[in-house]
Amino acid sequence: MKREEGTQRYDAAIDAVRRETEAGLGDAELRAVRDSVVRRMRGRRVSRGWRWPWLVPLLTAAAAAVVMLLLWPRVLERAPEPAPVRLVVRSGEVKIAGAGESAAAREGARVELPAGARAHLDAGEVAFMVTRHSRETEPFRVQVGRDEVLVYEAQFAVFAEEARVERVTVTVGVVELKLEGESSSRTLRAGEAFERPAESVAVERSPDPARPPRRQQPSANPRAVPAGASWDAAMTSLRAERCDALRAQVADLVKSSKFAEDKAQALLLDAECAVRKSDKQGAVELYEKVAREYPWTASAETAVFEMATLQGDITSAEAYLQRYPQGRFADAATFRRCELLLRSSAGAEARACLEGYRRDFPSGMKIEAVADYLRRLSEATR
Amino acid sequence: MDPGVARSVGAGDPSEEAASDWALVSRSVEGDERAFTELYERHAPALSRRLLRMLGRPDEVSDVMQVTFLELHRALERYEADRPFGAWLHGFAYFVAARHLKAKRRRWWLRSGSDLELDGARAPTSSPEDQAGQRAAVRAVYAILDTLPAKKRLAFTMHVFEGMTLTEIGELTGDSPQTVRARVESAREKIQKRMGSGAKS
Repeated sequence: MKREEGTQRYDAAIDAVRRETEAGLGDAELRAVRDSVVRRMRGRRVSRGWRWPWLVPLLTAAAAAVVMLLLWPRVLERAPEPAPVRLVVRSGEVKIAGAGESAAAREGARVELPAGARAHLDAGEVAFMVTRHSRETEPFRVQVGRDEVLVYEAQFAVFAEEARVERVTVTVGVVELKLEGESSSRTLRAGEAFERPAESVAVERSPDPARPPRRQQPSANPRAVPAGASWDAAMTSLRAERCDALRAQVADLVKSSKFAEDKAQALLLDAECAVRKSDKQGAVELYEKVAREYPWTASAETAVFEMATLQGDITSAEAYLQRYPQGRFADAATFRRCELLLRSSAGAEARACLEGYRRDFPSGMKIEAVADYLRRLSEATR
Repeated sequence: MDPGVARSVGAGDPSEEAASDWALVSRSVEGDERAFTELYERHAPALSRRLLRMLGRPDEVSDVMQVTFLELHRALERYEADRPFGAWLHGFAYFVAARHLKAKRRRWWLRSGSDLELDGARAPTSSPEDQAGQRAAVRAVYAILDTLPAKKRLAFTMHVFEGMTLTEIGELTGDSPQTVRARVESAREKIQKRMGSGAKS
């Protein structure tokens, strides 16, 4: 019944529509449309189709070339960069394999490696500086027999004997160490070192346990040094500020030490003695020597920072920050630079420096002082 | 040939009409405004009738006709004499109307029942009561049509209001007769269902 009623209503409505719409638009409306169309079509040309079909591929190619030119820098920028690896062979010989070629670098060689290269070291000491450019980069690998060191970005040195890793020191960054016979790998961070004892394997802290934690001002206390009678004698001389005697002992230590880190450490003792004797020039020369001769060691970073502290100028602080932007003393060096800028009345630069500190070291040791400086700068500019 | 176009060209010889259309198109292409106006005069009444049935509102018909003739003017160079000009024009109008309806559906919040403005005065009706009832029925149909997708709506209006065959509609829209049938039936079913539920209340 309801369906019938609906059908009837439907039929009636369709008839109604037919009748209502039969006439279309009225004459007046049609004229209005015509006038509007004619008015709007004046000045508009009839499309005559494409007269130069050969222009299509030409324009497409030109557009593609323009797009490529515009995007090319980004393409280059985004392309996976090789992980540039620089290495210095301190002793022994390192074999380099990669890109279908292999080569050997001997003592004293400074080598730059292409992406995908691997270093093989059986015996000797090699310092590496690995720069990571993108997250897609594979880790750089140092193969020592069946031991392996993997690194994305770091400065570190590997000492190997009889195709075994004997010692790894990390100056900057993080290094993963896989040792034969161990199920899990070890992670060494900046300031840490691994040394394989004669009978067992252990990870120890930096050879300088007295060194303050990352991003803290180094202590003025005498540094702890590797164990041994010679080292004890040198420390005794330092405490007594017998710098001449110490210098001879340090020379012996440098000569007898197997590791670059130890040699640099010994020279730091000498430099510290000079500081205690207020021999600023002598200390700076020794620090420069450490930084120059043992650039891959953790002590070199310490030397550069101590030198900046001694010289107390902006250039030295910036020199440290440029060399070790993520270094252990970057916090203190940045703050020092900011303070020096404030003193030199470089207001805008000082403010930028302080804001940079606040951004980069939100929990830095000087964060409160920085906030105070910024507040005072704001008050001064009002 | 579809009925709308047949009506538009009158009772003359179709081949003569076609030749005449072709001549007008050629002159329009050369920039003869009068020739294009004559084309308009010749085909606009039938087109307006079809569009009014498709759209239901004179103001929308005016808009769609304007766009249709403007686009047609720009495309005249592509007109080929092997197809009747009327059919070509109505094909154009179909796509412009479909575009218009799609845009309108996207702006659904602008729709209202009071949009229906069919001029019942031109249609023969017996009494004011009948006129009022007829307008109410028309409003009800277009209110339901407004809820349908453009292709279904146009297929239904061309088939049911215009009396075009499924094949003719398919030629115009580029669809198969089966597809057109499915659209028409779907629209019909929905309208009947809605009208049945309206009767209930």
